[in-house]
Amino acid sequence: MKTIHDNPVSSREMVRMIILFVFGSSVVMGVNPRTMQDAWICLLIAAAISVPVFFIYARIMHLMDGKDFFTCVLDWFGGIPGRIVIALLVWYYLYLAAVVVRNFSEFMEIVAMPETPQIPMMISFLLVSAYLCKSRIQVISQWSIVGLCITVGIMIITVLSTVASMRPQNLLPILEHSPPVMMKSSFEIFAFPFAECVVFLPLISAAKHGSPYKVFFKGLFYSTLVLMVIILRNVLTLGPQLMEAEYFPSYSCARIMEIGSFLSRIEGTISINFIVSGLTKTSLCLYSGALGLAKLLNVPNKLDLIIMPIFLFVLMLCALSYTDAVQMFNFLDFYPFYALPFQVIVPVVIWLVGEWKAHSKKTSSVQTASQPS
Amino acid sequence: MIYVILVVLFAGILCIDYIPRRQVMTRPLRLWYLGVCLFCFAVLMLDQVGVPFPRIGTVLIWMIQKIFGV
Amino acid sequence: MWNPFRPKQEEKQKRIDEALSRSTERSKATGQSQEEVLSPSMEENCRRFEELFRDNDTIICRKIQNACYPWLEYRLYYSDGMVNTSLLHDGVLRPLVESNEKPGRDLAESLSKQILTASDVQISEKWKDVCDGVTYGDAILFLPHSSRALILSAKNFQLRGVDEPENERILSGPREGFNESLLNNLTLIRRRLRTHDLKLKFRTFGRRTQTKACVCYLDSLVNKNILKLLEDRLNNIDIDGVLDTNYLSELTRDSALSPFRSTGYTERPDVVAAKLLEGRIAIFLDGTPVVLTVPYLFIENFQSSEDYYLNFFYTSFSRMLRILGFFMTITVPGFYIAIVAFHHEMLPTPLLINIASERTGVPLPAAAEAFIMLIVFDILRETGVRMPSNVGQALSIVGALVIGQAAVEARLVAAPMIIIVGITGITALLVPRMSAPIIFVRIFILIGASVFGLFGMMLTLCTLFIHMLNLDSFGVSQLTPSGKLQFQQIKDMAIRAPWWKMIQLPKRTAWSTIRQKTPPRRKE
Repeated sequence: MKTIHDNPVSSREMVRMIILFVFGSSVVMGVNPRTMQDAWICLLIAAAISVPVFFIYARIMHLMDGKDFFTCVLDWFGGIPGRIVIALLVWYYLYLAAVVVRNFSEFMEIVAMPETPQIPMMISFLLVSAYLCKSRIQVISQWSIVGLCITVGIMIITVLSTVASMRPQNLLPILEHSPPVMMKSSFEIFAFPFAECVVFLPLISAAKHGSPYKVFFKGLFYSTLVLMVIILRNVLTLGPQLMEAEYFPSYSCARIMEIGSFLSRIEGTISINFIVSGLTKTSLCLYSGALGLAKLLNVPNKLDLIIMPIFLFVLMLCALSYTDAVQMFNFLDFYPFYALPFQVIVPVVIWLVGEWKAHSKKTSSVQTASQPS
Repeated sequence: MIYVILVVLFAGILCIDYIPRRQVMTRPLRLWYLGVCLFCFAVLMLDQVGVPFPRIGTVLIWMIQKIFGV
Repeated sequence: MWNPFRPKQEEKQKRIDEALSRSTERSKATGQSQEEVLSPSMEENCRRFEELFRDNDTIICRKIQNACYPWLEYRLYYSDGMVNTSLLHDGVLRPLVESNEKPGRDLAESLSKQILTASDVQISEKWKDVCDGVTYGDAILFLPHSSRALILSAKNFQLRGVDEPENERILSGPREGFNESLLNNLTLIRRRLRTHDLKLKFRTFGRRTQTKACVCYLDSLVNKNILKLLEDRLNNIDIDGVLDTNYLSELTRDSALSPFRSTGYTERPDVVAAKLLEGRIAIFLDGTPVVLTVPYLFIENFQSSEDYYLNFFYTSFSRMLRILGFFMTITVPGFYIAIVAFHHEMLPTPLLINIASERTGVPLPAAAEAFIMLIVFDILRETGVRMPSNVGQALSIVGALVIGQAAVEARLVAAPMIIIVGITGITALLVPRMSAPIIFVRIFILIGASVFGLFGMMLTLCTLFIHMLNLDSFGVSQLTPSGKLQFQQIKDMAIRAPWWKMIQLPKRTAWSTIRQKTPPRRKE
């Protein structure tokens, strides 16, 4: 009997979820445009910075050897420190979900519906994410197969439709900006969106076969590819100054898209991308947060009992996160500093403790093996 | 209007999600559920009324400026 | 809705138990209890029988005496109109009266084996069998000084003929359909599956109706887990009457609140035979031509039996058309409202000016107009199903002229809305199996589109897709039967590969979860 929950998630689906997740907010917010025409170089540098961090994530999963992430953290750290670590991660996941929803509702408000209040939009988006989250990881993985096809398909359509207005001289002059500016921009791109894959730490254990290294690095490679296409499309079509000035460069790019001579202003299609990828990102964050909270509250298998309070909590965070859209865009400058403890420091600590535990287990097993019987 | 939406949402969550599943939950979990829902609902309503809660973004920016001196 | 004054669960259960025990006591008094046996005295039996069936004037009593042994007196009871009287005459009455054999010690045995020539004779001591028999067209023979009665099968009812079902017409292929007799329907299946592997297990449902049902499957292909799950759910059914298979479908469904079905239904024997060959289970019910098939996959909503009797290009195209029709009928009204009310810039300018000019002077907002027109269309459709044929002409004129033309000219409704509603209605007829979920889903998407435009429509479509991913039918996921959504399977479901391709590869490997074993078909 094969209900959808009887099958484990395959590593290919996990890679797809990572791509859709990284795509999540970047498809509309755009990748950091501070360096204008050199943004694509900063993207490559950011991907290079992400490689060791992803290696640490994959190493943690390898050390845990298929066991549930939060159970392992509690085992390794003990009672109180383990709970503190889990609480920090849960806070990060839930606030990230709130930020994505806030991005979405601000986007809808600015671009399409200025007179609609934001709370109903947040509620409807979060409700659908909560429904997806409640259906558990197998449904999210099947959903991401379809979602990825839709998003990549629409992206290809937008690229093909804007090819006529692309100008290669928009990429010049290359490396105009000084290395400190480039490094800062790369660091920002690393923090948002790449290192947000820390959300996948509790989820990779659902993929029973396949190595976590392959999953993370394949995900990194394909998502870099996808983001590269987006940045190049934006720069070549809009030009560097316009790309930096616009709040939503991908949306502006879609606005000048024209199919034939009769179909134009179909920027609604780019919103489909954001809804699909935004839903995936939010529900993955909610799911990881729910898993952590379930561990803290000792309700290990009945996730659907705690989804609704999490939904209300994230709604509250969402409503309270920023005063307005201007602060939201300003916060992007400070986001790497806020996210650094959660994306780098906490995983490094977990990794070091994991290595130490593995090492001590190996030495103790060597000692027991070498004791005379 | 938003008050109505929030009240309907809160009542809907309680009726559809909490009441049918009350039996399955342990007592601490029930208290936690109701506590979180009530707290969030109160904060959201007060925010709509106009009580000036500090925004999380503002707090975080202030903390980062203090710690990192950016 | 939640009612705080609703009595607690325990009190409710207590009241249900009391009502059940009252009805079993009453039915005990009427002899429907399992345990009661006949008495050794024929007078007592006959008196009891006549008391049970008093005020039932269709029951005929025939007293017979053997010509040679006058002390052998029998009483025959049967229900007028349900028995074949010539069969009773030749197979029962004549042998009883004319036989000159001395009956043996066991009267019932010697009668059934040596004297009576009726084709089906059962011996029973229970009142339940007697009452079930006489209510279903059997004749009951009470014997002197015996606590056993003979139940003689002599059924002869008027039944509808075997003709093509109205709702499942095809262009070319077999034209037989089920009718209301369980045995006739099972015969139609047995003629198509002439193998000892075909298992037919009877059971009864309904405390008062005692309706016979049959669970049918091919033993070597069926998945035993699904069979066990089905039998557990059928055993849990406790209801006073079952008149149609839809009762069983709703009592055994997986998710109570979903608009989508979890069991298939059909009135065609060739469809049931094909599904049995795939390893599914069929449930027949006496008194209804509709047969359930379990488990049910989502893609079956779009399949038709003639897909396999016609050319594969044509049927692949038809199948894709049906899927497109389903998608269009649920999204077209919402899409129109989203464009007209929220995203006017998406329309080419000449079209926009046309629609704007059509909509001037219309009093209602576009969303309200769409709701009202959809409801009017549903009213027309429902009336068309139920009205007598001599009113048909007048009503179609009323529908087309009055509602369509005159409403537009009176500026109550905009002309593009009529076109939209027409497209919606016609595409809905492409998938008749989904008429129930379509109504609900369409309104849901329309509400989403009216509130948030294209974003709302996308969100509701996403919700619908997540719901479909969650659907189960007897332990098998409806949208991903093998647990994964692979494009290979979608290709197999969306188009129909030609038969020569299906012989070389294992046919529809997705079905391996439904079947227990998948014998790959080899080319001979």
